[in-house]
Amino acid sequence: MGDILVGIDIVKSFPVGRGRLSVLKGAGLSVREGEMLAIMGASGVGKSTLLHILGTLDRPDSGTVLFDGQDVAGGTDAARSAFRNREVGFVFQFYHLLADFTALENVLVPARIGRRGGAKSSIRDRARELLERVGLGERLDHRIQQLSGGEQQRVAVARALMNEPRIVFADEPTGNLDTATSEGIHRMLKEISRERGQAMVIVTHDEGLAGICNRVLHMVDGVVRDTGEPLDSAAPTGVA
Amino acid sequence: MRFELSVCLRYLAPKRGRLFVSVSTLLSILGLAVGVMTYITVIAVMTGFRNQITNAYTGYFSDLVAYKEKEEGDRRIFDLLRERDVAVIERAAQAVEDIQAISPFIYGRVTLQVGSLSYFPDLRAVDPVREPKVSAILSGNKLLEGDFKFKRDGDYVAIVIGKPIADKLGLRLNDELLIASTGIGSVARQRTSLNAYVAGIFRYGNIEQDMSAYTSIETAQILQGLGGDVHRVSIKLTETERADEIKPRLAAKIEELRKRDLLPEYRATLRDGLEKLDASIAALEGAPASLEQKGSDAELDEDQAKRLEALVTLLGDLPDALAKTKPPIEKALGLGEALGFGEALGLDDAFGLDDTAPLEAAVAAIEDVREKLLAGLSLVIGLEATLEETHPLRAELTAVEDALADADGATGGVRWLCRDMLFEPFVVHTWSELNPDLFRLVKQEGIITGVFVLLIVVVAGFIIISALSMTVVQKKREIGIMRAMGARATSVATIFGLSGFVIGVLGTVFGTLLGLLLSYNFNAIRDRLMPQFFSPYDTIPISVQLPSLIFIWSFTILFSILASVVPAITAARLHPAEALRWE
Repeated sequence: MGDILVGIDIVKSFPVGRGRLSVLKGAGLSVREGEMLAIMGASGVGKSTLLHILGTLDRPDSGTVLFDGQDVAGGTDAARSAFRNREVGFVFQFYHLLADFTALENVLVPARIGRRGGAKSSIRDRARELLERVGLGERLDHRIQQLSGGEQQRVAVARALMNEPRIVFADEPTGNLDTATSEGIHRMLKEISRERGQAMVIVTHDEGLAGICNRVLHMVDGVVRDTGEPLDSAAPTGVA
Repeated sequence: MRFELSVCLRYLAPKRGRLFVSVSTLLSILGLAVGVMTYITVIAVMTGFRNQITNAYTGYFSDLVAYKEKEEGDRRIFDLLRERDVAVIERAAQAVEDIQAISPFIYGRVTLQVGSLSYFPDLRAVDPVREPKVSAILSGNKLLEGDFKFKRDGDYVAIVIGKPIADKLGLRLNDELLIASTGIGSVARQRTSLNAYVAGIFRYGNIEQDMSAYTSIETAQILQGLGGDVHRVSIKLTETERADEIKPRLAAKIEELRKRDLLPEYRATLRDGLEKLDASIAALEGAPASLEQKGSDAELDEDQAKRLEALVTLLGDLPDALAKTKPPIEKALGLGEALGFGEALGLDDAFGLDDTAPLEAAVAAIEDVREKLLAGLSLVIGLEATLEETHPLRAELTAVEDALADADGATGGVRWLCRDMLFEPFVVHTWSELNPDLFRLVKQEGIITGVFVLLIVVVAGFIIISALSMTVVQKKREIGIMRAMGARATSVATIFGLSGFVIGVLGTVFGTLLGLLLSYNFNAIRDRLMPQFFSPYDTIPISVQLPSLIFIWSFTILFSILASVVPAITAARLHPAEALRWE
């Protein structure tokens, strides 16, 4: 089972007043191809920062992020942007959709940024298909404001999958939703991970969500502690 | 680019709003549109105004004007054109390509008197046959009554006056009046008054021209005592635009013909001068010795002896000094001979008097020696005055005086002709050179107005900066989202740069439509809003020029893009992780 993404000794601090707040103090982890990995930990322990660095949204002060053995933490803005566009999908706690666009248009954004080849209609078909997959086949042309929180997050999941990334980062994907809705999203994420073999790194407080992941890592004081074996005995599909 | 454009358009015109575009975008577009509209209208009105003035004047004056100047001290002052000067200009004009016609004229201010009423208009005296070929001033369609033939009626000379003057003096066609020169604004030798009759009444619709009077050259020559002389010559070109290019060609041709006319006299005088110089040198060579000899023989008092000694000393090196003037004069004569020689061979262009150095050298050498000649003459005359009629020295002195006078005459004549050759009396001016103030004023006014109007666009540019900067702040999180989806910093910058461009294009389009609408209805709107200031005659011919449109279009669009640079850079610099953290 290969490691798709490896973070090594990642250090990150932020300026606070005159000093600096040290958030990551040598955090390291590896993500295996196709696995669903949960990262848990107290608030402010640096889970989101780690996720941003792994997803190249932020640069570490020191340390390395290897994707398929290639360093992606360094590099130009263009190279990192292209990497994010092709290989990474993001799901955020607050959905982070473009307010002036419809559900379908939001899902199309990554494809349009990436200027992926192929007919315009085939890209639209794929976006429509993804929205159907997340259960929003009837709401393609709704504006974002017209959708509920759970629906918005489903749009965000569809968007994250649009460019067929090999890894999806989800930052508290159900942190803003009620329990019933959350469970629906959880099930969906699990199914998608199984169907498509995409690796998922999920930062969460939700024990239920962590419970359906293959592995759970805990962050304490700026470092990652591996608790060992995957909770789910079933091997991830797509790699088996 | 397609992605950036769609985001940019969505930001400018969000679908959820009631308006087609967001309020800040609308303000930016309106600001630009007002600027473009104002610029187009103002420039159209100014251009039309300028054309009106220019047309009026270029019709009134000819393309080029030639006249003559003379030296007074170290200044050049206006001189009258003799008949032969006009002939030189005419020959030159025939020789230069692209010149259509010439026409001499006289100008000046006159007094028109009818009973106890009088008025002082500008008078222009022109040839009724030649003038229509160079200017529009005698064009018949401006005439209300009578004609421009200036036909004399017995003792009464013909005068054609503008309608305002006729109204002022209560004159009608064929009415009698008195015309007199004032000497103001003219070069007149004397002032005369003549009986005149109104031979015509005209109106150009231009106050300066309508307040003037026209008559024949002969009448003006009598009024000002000019004999056959005139003031200037108007010259008409086949293409007015080429005035600046043809001017120097005409001036050179006039100068060449003038020199050529002088050439026989020049050659004769220089040759004659050289001969006389030789004779004087020969006559003066023995003079010091024989004067000394005769002086010692005769009885002289102390004063006379001193004078004689001074004279002998002066005469000692005079022959040498005179001889020194010969080579430059010979060289100057050589030029003239060469010119004649070349002319005979048809090579006149190859041998010119354009090389002024030998002429200047001759003048300088002669001026040096002339001081000595005059000093010698005054010494001789002074000494002679103290001697008795029968004094033995007298005959000797008379011979010296003659020799000195001959040398003075010879060098003086040469000097005068060389200087005459060097001095270029003819001046050719283009119309705009003769009216520099008017031209400059109209041009400056246009430029200054244009610059101030552009400020509106600049202010609109600031609206764009603030509107787009506000959008950047509002869309900070969305910029972070797009960055997370893989949009490059440059894509984000492009979105806002495109916004500037789109705003610029929309502002330009609306501004142009409004500007054209306003321009072409300018006179009607003006008469409706401010009827008390304008009469129906004052209709300004609106002139919308494509170059000024292209200028304001490119200026506005470029400036809009420029205004979007600051917000675009701010947006591009947003850190994606921070933009997302922001709630």
